Amino acid sequence: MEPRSLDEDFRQEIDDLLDAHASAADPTADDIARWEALASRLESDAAARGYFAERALLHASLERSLTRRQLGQWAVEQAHASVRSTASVPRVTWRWATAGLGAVAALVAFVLLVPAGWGRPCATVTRGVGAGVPTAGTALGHEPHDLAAGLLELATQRGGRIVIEAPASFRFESAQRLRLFQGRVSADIPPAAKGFTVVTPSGEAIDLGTRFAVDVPPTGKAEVHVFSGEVIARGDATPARSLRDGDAYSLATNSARELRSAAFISGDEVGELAAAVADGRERVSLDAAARLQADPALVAWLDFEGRDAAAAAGQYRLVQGRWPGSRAADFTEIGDHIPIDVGAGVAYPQLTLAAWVRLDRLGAPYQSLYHTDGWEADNPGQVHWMLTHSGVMRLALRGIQPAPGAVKQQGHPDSRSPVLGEEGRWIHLAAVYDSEAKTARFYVDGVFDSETHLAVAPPARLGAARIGNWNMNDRRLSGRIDEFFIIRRALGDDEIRAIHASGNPYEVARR
Amino acid sequence: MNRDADERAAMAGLWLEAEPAVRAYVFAAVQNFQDAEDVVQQTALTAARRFDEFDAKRPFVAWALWLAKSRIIDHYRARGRQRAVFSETLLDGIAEALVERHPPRVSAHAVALERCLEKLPPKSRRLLDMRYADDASMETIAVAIGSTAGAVRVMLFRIRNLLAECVRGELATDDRP
Repeated sequence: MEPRSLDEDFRQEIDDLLDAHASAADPTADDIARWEALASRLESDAAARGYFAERALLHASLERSLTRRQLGQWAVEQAHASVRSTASVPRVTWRWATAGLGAVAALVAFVLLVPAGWGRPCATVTRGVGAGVPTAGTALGHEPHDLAAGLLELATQRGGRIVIEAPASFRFESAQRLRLFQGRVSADIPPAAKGFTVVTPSGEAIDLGTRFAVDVPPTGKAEVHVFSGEVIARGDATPARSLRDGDAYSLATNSARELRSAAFISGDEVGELAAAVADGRERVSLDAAARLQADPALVAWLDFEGRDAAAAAGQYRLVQGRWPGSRAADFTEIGDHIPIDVGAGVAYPQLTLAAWVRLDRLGAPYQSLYHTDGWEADNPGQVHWMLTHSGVMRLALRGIQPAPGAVKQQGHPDSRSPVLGEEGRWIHLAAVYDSEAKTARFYVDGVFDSETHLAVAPPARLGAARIGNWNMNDRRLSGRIDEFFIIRRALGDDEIRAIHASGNPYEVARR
Repeated sequence: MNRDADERAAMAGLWLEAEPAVRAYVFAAVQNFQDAEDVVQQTALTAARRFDEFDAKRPFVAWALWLAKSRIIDHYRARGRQRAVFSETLLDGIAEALVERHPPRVSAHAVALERCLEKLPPKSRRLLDMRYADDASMETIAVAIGSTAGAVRVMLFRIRNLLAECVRGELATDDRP
């Protein structure tokens, strides 16, 4: 009866195989070989079969005992969710329905299967933003999900808060293990959920109680970004390493990266974005953008949508913009840029540059928004629009001279206030140049910030230029740009306020 | 109530008792986690549909395992290229061993296991939670507790040995007049 005759290695191997089974979706070739070796031993050894049966039963009993509490929680969530939405019924019930089974059989099976742990949800949707995105209350089990557009905020069984941004493809392997094939995920993990792991095509990130994020681009080359706490990053071919506050790391290339907090949507932001979408603000934004595009004074317009998306050649990633399913350009590598050649040979007495941006705070001296390729003394009026390392907006034109006492640094017109917060959010930036009024004016989120008076103000000149990286050195860009435009008018306070208000992706407090 | 409702209740009760054995069986024979979940589900469905064929004089668990065996074979047949690791003979042998070891009173066994879990030191209990409630891999657990995967394997092995021993003891005590 007692399996004393079985050696300890064999007994340990049985546990190991049963354990490996539960934590990995697919067995490796090595696993299969080990199962085959086990099978051949079990064929010929009745005592081994008896021990194996006993151990497999113990594993199954433990699984039932230790997951019961969570099943109870799930049942409660299901009861609530089903009142709100039929989509919250686990996928498996639809499968029964389509299999043509009677309602009674399906009900019996449902009653039977809930305790069996089938479809035990790994996470529950707390907010879904965008059409076709699972709604609040939807339980996510082990099934794969493709998120073509929008945002998903989830609560895991253990209270972790997860935000997934489209385009994304993922599957929960367990409540504590999220496999991310593509997409951007930010996670806020409480101590109770320590050990939460995001598995990517190039390695995994194991959380030790923290806020962190994972970016898996279509190439599969994943990066881990840690905002606070500690995360263990383990590339497929590299040893585990510890990442702490402010660290970022490429699992694919086994090298450090610059932290890109703006690349990820935080849980706090989801609520504001969701409210604006629910309010129908996307339509308002599109209408306003269409009106601007029809303005005869428009010199350049880049929104990365529709047919024109391909027209914006360059080196950057096309990612989700401010609205579910809309698009924006994302600059992640040092050399990323978009060449733009407009208005060559024209002198513009007035010019407004504006864009929706979502940028990182970098240690580098400049975030380069728009730079004409040239900057020659004999071609005054060339435009360089950027953010400085102190986070203020600068509009530099070749040959201008600020008036005595004007707001400036290093001889260039600068905004009075820094425009970037600690964490990335969408903000609207505008700079207005008027060579006749001899002013450079700055606007942040539709609000007038400051004005620099100029003593010398030649007309502005454009031509071959770049959005993003300019010289591979101190002029870079890290983040997203959307609805970038140049117009040959000095837009007024009201116009800029209206552009911001109509395009604002965040909920606005109503009076 | 009506006969259908009674039958459903009877079936649900019997299935709950047999289900750990069915899971043990299916998860041993089907190495892909998702597929194994599917096969268990199929088995439950078949049992519900064919419950009127069940001979109440025989143990339910034996019948459930017999149904599960057909579902396992169906599963591999449907896959074609994917060879079954366990032969039919071995599947019979394991089903037999499971029926033999299946506790006659499942609820008493569950209570005993519950008591033994409570006796475990918190650290051991946490290891089991990570393994079963979270389905964490040995590597993940190792990182979370600052140890190695090899050490975690051995710790879990020993904890289970202790639990098995403890449950046996509890049930023996329970049997005393």
